[in-house]
Amino acid sequence: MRLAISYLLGLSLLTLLMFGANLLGLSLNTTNSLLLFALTVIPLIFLYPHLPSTPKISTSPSKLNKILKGIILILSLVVLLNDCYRIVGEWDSLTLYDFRARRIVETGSIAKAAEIQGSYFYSYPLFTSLFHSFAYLLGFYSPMLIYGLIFVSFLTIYYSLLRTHVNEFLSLLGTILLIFAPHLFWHAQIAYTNLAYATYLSLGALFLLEWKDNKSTIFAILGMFFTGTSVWVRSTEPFWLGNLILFLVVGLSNFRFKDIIYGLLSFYPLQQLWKRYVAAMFHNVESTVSQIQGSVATVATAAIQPTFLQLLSDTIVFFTHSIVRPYAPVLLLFAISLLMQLTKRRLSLFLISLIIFDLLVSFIGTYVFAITQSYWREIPGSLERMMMFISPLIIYVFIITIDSTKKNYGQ
Amino acid sequence: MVNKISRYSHYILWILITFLIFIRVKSILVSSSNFIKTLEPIFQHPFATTDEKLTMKYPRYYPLIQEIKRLTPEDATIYLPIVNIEYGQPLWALGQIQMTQTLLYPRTVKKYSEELTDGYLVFYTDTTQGIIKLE
Repeated sequence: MRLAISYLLGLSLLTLLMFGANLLGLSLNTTNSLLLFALTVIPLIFLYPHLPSTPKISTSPSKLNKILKGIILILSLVVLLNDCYRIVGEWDSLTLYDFRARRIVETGSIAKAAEIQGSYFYSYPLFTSLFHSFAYLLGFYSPMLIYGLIFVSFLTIYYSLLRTHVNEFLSLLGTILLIFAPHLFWHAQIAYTNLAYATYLSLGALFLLEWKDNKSTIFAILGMFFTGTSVWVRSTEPFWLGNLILFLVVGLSNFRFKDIIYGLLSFYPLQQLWKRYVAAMFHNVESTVSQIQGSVATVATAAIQPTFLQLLSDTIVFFTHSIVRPYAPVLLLFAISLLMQLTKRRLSLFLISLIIFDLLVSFIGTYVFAITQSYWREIPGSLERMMMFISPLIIYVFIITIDSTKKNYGQ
Repeated sequence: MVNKISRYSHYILWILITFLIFIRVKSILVSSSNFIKTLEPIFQHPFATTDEKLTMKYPRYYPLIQEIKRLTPEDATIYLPIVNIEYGQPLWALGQIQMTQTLLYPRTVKKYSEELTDGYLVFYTDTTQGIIKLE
């Protein structure tokens, strides 16, 4: 698990360093990128022993567990093998993420690359583009393997976190369910931002859950840093808010003020970074609070319009089509988990309330989008991909719930 | 009621898990056939270049892009026909100015209009495609 966390931390730190150093005038060429890579690795070496590791719990060998491990290993190798071969070829990745990366490599400058592409350049933060640039600067013909390694790291950390709570069979079962959750496996083989977003945001929430239970500060820092990185991957979605609210509620109610300070220091700069940068470029600064106020005002204004009910009903249909239908198996797991919670009250409300909050935010967000954008019906695929992070959280709840029946299935 | 659910909870659980496995198997089978499909090119064309891989992905469109690149200088203006090709059709991307602009960079790509200046006009039919130099 330490290696997997280091990889995801390193990827975030490297892209942040590339961004910051270039803003300060350092050209992004091969030598400088290697220097920045070294600067990323050095703190990680010191941090490594302090990172959480996979729990070493001896269990009796089971054939079923070996089969499950084999399946996970084969599927991970399939992803890595495919990513060694694949190139960036999908529409969004070619026209935005990879185009930006290639222009940064050509010019050595983020600002010059932005000049070439125009305002489209600022649509999403530079996380994936900068690691594409890094791969090209090092002479790789494709950055796809980085996506495969994000996926494998995600599986590793997910398994390890589950393993601290449940037996090996259930941890492996949860990891396999994660592989087959909607979109995740496929997104490990294409250069979209959704996999990285789902990885950082859901792991951020799971680290915070660990922090709540075992009170170790490192989990607060990791949880909030990963949540912040999710904003550095995709800045428009507001799902970081759920993690932040729960972090503050848990921290304040348990008087863990030191952890709150460390967590906020790990999160806030990342949450602000891209927004401030774009605002500086366009001379337009809007705070998060005023953005939320704006959304509330938009909904309130729409609520008194005569078309309110019609638009609400259209949004419900659209939401059902784009979220409920594609995620039906996962949502079914959530329904099962809630039903089981009626009888066994082992699971904390933490994850359940987070999932409900995120689903509500996605519905309200869709409604706000429907009010403000005439083309809102044209993005069902985008909305579906945006919600990829919900599957890991629901599967986690489901596995913990199964375990609460106190049956050691498979052992 | 709650006590009854509690007494039979693990039976309910197993029924639900069986159901779950049933619905997941379909997804797993679909995904598995996709794994095999996505792995096919690795074994069929293990040493394919980037251009060859993009040609496999966009069979008519990408060769046209390469042809335009070969025939036009980097400062050329390329005009795209006004088309509405259904997504998934071989030349669908011709209707996507952003995509074509990306692949033809640093050339300038514009939509066809009445006021054409010097440049090149892309054309296509059901069976062929190419460019015409505008004088």
